[in-house]
Amino acid sequence: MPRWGMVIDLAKCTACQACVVACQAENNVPCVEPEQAAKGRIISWLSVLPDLKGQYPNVLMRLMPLPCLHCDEPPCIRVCPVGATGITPEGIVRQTFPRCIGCRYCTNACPYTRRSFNWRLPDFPGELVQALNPDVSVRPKGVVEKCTLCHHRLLRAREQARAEDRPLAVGDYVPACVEICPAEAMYFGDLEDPNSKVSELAESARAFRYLEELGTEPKVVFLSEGEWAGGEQT
Amino acid sequence: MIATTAIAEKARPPALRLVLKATGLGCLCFWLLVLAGPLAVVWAQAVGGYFVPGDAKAGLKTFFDKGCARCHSVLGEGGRTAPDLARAPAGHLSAGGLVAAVWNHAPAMWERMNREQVNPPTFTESEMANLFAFIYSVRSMDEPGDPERGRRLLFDKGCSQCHAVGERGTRVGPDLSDWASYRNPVSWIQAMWNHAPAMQALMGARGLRWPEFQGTDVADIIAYIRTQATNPRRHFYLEPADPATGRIIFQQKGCTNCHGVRGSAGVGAPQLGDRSLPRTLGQFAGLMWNHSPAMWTSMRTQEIPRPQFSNKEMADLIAYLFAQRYFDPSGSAHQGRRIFEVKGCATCHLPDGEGIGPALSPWRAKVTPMALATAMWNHGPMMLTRMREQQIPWPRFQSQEMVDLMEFLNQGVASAQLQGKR
Amino acid sequence: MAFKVNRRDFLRFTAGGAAGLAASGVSLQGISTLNAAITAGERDVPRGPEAWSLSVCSLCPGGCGLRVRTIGKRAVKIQGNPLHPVSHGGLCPRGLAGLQLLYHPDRLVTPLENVGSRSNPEWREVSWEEAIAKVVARLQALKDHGQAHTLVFLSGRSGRLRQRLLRRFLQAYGSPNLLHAPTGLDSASRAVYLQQGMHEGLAYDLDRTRYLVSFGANLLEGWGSPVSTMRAFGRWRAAGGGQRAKFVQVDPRFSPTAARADEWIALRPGTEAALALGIAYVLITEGLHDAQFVEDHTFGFEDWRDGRGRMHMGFRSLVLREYRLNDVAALTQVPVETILRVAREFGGNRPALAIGGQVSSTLPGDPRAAMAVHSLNAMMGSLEVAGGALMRPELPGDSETRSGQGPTLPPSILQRDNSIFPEVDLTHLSQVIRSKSPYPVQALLTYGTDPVFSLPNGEELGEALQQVPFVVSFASFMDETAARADLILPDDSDLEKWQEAASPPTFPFLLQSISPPVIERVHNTRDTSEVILSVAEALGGNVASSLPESTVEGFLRAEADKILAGRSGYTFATQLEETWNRLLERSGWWAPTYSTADELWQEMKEKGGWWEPTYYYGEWGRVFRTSSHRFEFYSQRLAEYATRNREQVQAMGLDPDDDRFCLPHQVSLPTAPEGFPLLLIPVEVLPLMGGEGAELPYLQQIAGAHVFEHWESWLEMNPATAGQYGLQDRDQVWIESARGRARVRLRLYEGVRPGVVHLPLGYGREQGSEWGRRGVNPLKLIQTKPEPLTLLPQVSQTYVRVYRV
Repeated sequence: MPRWGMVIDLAKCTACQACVVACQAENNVPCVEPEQAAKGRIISWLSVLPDLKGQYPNVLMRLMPLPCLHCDEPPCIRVCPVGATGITPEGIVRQTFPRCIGCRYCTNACPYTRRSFNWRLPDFPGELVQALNPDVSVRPKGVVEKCTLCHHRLLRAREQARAEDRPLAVGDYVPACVEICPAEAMYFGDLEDPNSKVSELAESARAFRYLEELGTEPKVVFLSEGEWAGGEQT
Repeated sequence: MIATTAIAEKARPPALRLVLKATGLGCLCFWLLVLAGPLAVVWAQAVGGYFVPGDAKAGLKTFFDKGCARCHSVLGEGGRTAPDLARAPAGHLSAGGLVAAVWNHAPAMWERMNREQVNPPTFTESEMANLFAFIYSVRSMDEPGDPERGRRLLFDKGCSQCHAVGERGTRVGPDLSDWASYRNPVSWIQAMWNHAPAMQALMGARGLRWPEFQGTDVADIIAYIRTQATNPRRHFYLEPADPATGRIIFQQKGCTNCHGVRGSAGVGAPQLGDRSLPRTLGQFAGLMWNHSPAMWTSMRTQEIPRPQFSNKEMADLIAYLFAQRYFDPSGSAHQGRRIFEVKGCATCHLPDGEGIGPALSPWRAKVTPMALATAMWNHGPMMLTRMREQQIPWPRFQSQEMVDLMEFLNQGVASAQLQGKR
Repeated sequence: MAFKVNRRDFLRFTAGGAAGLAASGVSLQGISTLNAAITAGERDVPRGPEAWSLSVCSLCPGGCGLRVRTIGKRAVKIQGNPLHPVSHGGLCPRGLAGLQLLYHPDRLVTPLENVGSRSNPEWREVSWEEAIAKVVARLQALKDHGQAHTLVFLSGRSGRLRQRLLRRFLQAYGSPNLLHAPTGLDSASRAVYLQQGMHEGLAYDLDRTRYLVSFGANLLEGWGSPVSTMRAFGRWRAAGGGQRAKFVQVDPRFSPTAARADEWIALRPGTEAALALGIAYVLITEGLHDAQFVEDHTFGFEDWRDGRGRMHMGFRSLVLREYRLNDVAALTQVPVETILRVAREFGGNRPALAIGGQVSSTLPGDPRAAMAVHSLNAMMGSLEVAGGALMRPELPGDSETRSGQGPTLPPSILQRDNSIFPEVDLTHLSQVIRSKSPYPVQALLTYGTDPVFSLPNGEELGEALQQVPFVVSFASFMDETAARADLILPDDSDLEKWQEAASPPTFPFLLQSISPPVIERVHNTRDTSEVILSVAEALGGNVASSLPESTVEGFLRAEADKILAGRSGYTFATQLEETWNRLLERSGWWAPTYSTADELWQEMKEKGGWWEPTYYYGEWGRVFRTSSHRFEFYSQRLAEYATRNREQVQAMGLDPDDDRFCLPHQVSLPTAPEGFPLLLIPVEVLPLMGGEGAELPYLQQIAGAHVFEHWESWLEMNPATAGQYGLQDRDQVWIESARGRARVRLRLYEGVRPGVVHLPLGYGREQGSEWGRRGVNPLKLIQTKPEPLTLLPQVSQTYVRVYRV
């Protein structure tokens, strides 16, 4: 049984946010209108978060693409009173929207703030509704939504593999954010497979797990920026 | 042998011919496969050897897929930690030579892979064939030269005494920068070949020596001239050459009057397609140039008209000669047996299969360089371990020794004469 | 484990994913009944076969390859074309937002005629036939009165082949005025013109460089071809074993690009030239430069004597005399040790590359600084080498269109007598219109650009347009220029028309993308090229005969056929095939997968295009078109200009006999006027690159991520500066320049230099979609000063004051 995981190389990431838009478009995440956004009601499954330190001109800033980290020990699922969220055998932290009662305990429990609440019925004015991805349904008002690791892509890939009478191959299933990254800074695969790229990278000396001291055991692993090793002086 | 090819020529349907041309020079060996595949037996009899198929482009894929490219490069594509297979070893390698090179080099490679905790990949026979075809093809290609060396050569070889390059030099001959758009060394040699008589006369009048080009000379000079181009609007490449057309040209232009190719006797001229010839097409062309004065003198005495070549004709011709060089001349089973004993193969490979190694008699009539290389590569690490345990050194083979050995194995390890001497 | 249909899993994810619906033909409705609240849109499930088609993104000049998923008549997802050599399957957020553009509720959906006045327009829907007839009538009348040359066509971004179509149309019609919107790279290009004698094609081999110093080029936020630059960035960082390239960003602001660099050098605004020359000082004094290259391929490094026996100062003397480290450090406010260290690293890591700056992808930087920066490349021998600065060659068919055929035309309206450059840039158009000199503009067509919004002096142009009798816009959205037009003929969106793109800016290889329309038109719009063909046909005569093709496809096909004659290059291919092709190419063989024009066309459509993956290094004759046939530290073009136009040079406040005029040097800095203590520098953010895209919610949401801002402009200020003026984070403030004031939210950001404030470009539209009409357009506060030599607008020299509302 695979254990899906992601590695994000912060050395290669350009903070362009293509992953953010790819995620929105793939998953029909509604764009919250300006007035709502100003109240902090933006819905975002994946966003690039800045972390600024120091004073001019000694400033450092980490720009970190942060999806749901699909923790092995997710704090969010423990607090759900109705079992609307849980973890699949393959390690994906799921949200069953029809079951969600909108209590938002989980949004508070998630230390990474990777859960969003639908304050309103999503609006796709005019022709915009045509751009919706038919593989993913739109969430109603009053439920919490979050990253599914593009689970619909996994289902499709499985179906395709079965139709071709073969096992799921490496690269068959890739979430939208990983697929689009122009700098190829994101990797996705099976952490259970010791030969997979993600397993290899997750062992790298640069690898770290965000806020792992909380005991969440995230399956999205970051690689730190690293440094220029210095060139020869000639 | 030529007769065999002629049969193949007829057997090839016209549609196939188009496909073949489209697949490109690099697939020269692939081409030969299709050409000779159905007639492999006839071919084998004709050349008294064996036949080696392969698809060079598929070989490139194998090269990357199997991880060879992680360490090895070819003409700069791939890793940097192991030798560039397009350059090392220097000189021409035939199929048998490739097997010998793999064999000799393998233990060091396995050891290193072991150190770096890389599992050696395994190959199927067809993958190995493709890989060989690929390596053989890229080895015949010229690398871009070194312009700085080219600049010095132009002066040293005396070219600049007559030719200007851009603004430098005097102008008796044409300005060489006019040719800067020609990317392929073969085009250069073709142009030089065709202009040579006029040039020879002028040089004679001025008492200049005929320049000769060795190694990468031609490529280097071209690289320099390219940097002097005033305003190259286009870059002229050659399209993949067609060895079959080359063979026809070889006959039509009268080359066969004097030259033989691989076994067919020549009359008073070197046999072409010889393995001692240089590695790349460009260097081969350079050699043609070097010998041309002597050749023309001999042609004049025999009253043979001097042939002219178009770009494409020259390329086809050289491709044809190169295709011939892939095949080793048939080995000697007798020599092979001697080698089998001297190199210690017989110590472990007993005819009854009771030795440390397996009996080799099942290989009878099945040995091709591919099959041998594949088996050797896939089982090699195990064999190496066993040999180490027995403290037997890894034997090394010359290219010709390998060919003889293969011939010997092909004829069957005759049980009676070979008793193991443990 | 055997595959299970996994109904439970499926249900569990119903809301998150309902895979394969399109394929299996199941409607979303069945599942949706599980949800109490369901949107109307959700029931509107697309029907029909699923397909993937290729296209090209034209939301910036980057020209990335798209792969679009369609179901029936709908486009439902944009992804990257993995075969495309520019983007290799990657995209930036703008490209991904393409569907919002296509299905935008505020698109112009049908031709409109202004039946009101220019200042108070009233729009009436007209048919295409009517609209085209009106254009034809006006153009015919102009032509009949011998006024054809007074037609001006403003063209923004469009593919190269479409440009050829326009050029040919105007040529035959009789107008020389195909004018282009300015780009940020203009400053670097002008520098290259002065030093190498070439106008176009400046490119950088970012992939293979080992050390890169960017003097304010916003590499990761809209410079050059964004995706291809990001890809190169990813490759630098992927290289292990000491092979990682170092990227140094020189910038007054700690921009997101600076944040991602290996090192950020904060310098005083406007002193980039001095810093570059300070680095040159170290290279010279420590002998780190490539002396052989300088000797073989450059002019004016050493002092030299001209034909009349007069001695001139060379680059070396200038640098050694005037750019001593202490002086440079004092001026730039960069520590001496930093300059020394960076210069030594730059000199010790080859190929090393220096890139000149820009304000944004549509606003150029300082051309003098660009000369100084490019001189560093020449010193290091980083011209025409792998990993260096290159000059992209022309595509087959390019020069032919440029010279053109037909009647000789009067000079372009932007051509100046005695100018160093053939044309001045578009910011001068409003002056030309007002002064009617060299001749009045009788008709103005604008396509792919909104100059009234995006030019630094756009308001001026907006007013000047009142004086142009006939204005036509081909805009897809109501914008500031379209709002002042007589006719709007809305263009198709990218996915609705034939797409084509050439090599994007700074991309070294020749390339031509081609893709057929992905879906049928959503609205009653038309491809502008198609409209031009219709107009040409209706005008008849030589105009019609110059464009014999009746369809855009026909035209593109005819132009693409010219590629075949070049006999080189390949259609887009997999990495493996490209490796193979490279191997062949290196030794002079070319094995194309096509042999006829039909095959080429077919393959271009199937794979996305054609390109030539080879760069021919060291073609000095091609890349140095100066009188010395070398790279010129001392620009002889400038010397010649100074000799012939002494008065003009003096009028610029410069001395024509001073050798500095022809050499790279630091110009004097403006000082803050009384009462305006803060320097305003507009900045570009990638989502709104080029000042476009504000109408797209996807982009609005992410545009200010580094300061957690969205949907609105923000004013960036250093907390120390704010403290000085008693301002606090998130205050509503007025920002006021001599030109006017605007209200905006203040954001304190440690990345801003004290004494400087920044406003993002792209906000503050007055027309069009409500989503784009938010925030402040910084250009309305900017006082533009043309740089004396190149007359390029300089927009980073405006001083402002900021106070609480």
